[in-house]
Amino acid sequence: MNLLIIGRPNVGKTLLMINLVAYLGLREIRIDVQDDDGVRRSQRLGLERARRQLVSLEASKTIRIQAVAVDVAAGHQHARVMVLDTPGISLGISPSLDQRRQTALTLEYLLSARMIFHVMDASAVPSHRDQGPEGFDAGLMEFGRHKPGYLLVANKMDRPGSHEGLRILKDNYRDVTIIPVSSATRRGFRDLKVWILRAIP
Amino acid sequence: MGDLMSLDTGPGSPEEVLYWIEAGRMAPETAISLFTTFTQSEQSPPRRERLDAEKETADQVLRDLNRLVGLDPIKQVVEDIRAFVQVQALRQQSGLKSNQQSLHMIFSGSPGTGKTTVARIMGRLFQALQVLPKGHLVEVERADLVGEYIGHTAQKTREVVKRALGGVLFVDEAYALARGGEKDFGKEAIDTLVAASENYRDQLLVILAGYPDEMAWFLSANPGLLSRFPIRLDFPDYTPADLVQIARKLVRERDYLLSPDAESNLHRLLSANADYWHKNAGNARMVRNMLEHAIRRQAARLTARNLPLSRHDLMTLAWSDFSGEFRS
Repeated sequence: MNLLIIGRPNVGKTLLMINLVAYLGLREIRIDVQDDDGVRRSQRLGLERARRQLVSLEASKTIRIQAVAVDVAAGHQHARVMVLDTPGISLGISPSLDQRRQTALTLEYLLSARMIFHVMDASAVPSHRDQGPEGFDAGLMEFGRHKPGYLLVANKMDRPGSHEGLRILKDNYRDVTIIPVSSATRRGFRDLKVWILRAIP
Repeated sequence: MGDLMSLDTGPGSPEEVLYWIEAGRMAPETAISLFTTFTQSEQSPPRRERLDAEKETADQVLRDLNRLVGLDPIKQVVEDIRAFVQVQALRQQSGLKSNQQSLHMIFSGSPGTGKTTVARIMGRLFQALQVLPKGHLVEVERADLVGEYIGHTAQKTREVVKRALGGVLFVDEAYALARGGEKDFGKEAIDTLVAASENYRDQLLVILAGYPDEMAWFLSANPGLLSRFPIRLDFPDYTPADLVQIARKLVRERDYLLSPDAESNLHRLLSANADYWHKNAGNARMVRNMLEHAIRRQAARLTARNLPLSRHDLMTLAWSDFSGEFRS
């Protein structure tokens, strides 16, 4: 079962993935990256190393879709979830074929994924109010509204301005489920786990 | 949502949207709003269909029939049958004598000319017209009807009839029943079928199908059949143009594309050889086999090439994928 993490660049998707699978019990992660020519590279990393190596504060670090498998269990429920971390979706038509290919692949996964984490940077929402209804985030929320496995993750709740951002999101999308989290402080991870367990059939 | 305006000329499915993104013709934010419209329009028809499944109308069935490539004479006859059945029902309602003509049929045509497909549509049509309660199709051949010892055949055939009650009993290669001569049990199967077709006239539609030549011989050898199977449909072989259209349709269903040279060469091949093929060749199944062969060859071609593959590469069937077919 796929859990797709999708969002604009630098909203914290990769750190969310690493810290989420750690929260779900992994001590070490085996990360699979598929190259364009179909070669699958696999890498084993300790959590600290993964954070250092895969996450960057300023630039868009993730350029390929990467996957980590994790077993989610609570009580009698048990399921293997494939967490897919995707490169950030930048607006407009990218000049790089490689990037466009990754975007197409990400959106292809979006169509079939059972669970979708749409990640937004809550602290950036107040200053980006002029994004308007044409923006990618608004379009994705509109798309997700009709999907049962869709969740809006308001990330970076430890940052200033994030609470106002969360309020704006809640006002604009009343019928969308929103879970506020902070990948850095792990606030809200319990809620994420409960949501995942409920989404597993 | 101004993008909706461009839907006519824009991509027609989510797959095409992905292709547009990769080709640099569309931005992701435009794509995502198109997805929303696609999934919404996808979601509404199934809901409608589910309601319709309980009561499919004759018009819907005929629309499916008309979507089939070629088969124009068949479509006309089916249209006539539909009119006949409806008028008989109206006459009955008005207290007039209704014609008790039986509707059992004979389909003659080469394999792969659409006999089974039309039979299935016929079942649905008669269900929609409330002639048959269930409208399902039971497809059998000689081995399903003929037994190995005396008495076995009648038993086997009756079981098949029982399964088909309420729907259509489609006997493929029916002439094989008369193949063995007088002492063959096939004769017994024919007699049992004829009896059942009379007895269960309101609950069963029997269709005897087979090659045109053999069916003509079969009917002449069993003159009693002609009066009991009054409707005869002759399935013509597909024309080269039909076959190309079928190829295009099959390719699209499988998420592939024909490259321009593949399409023109396919047309040339199909029309140039139309008269030279053996009689099983001029049909849709041959086209399907060619396509499936080409799809496998395309896969081999792509894996042999050590370059990154785009969606376009993965979708396109080139003429070189086909041309190996007839070289040997």
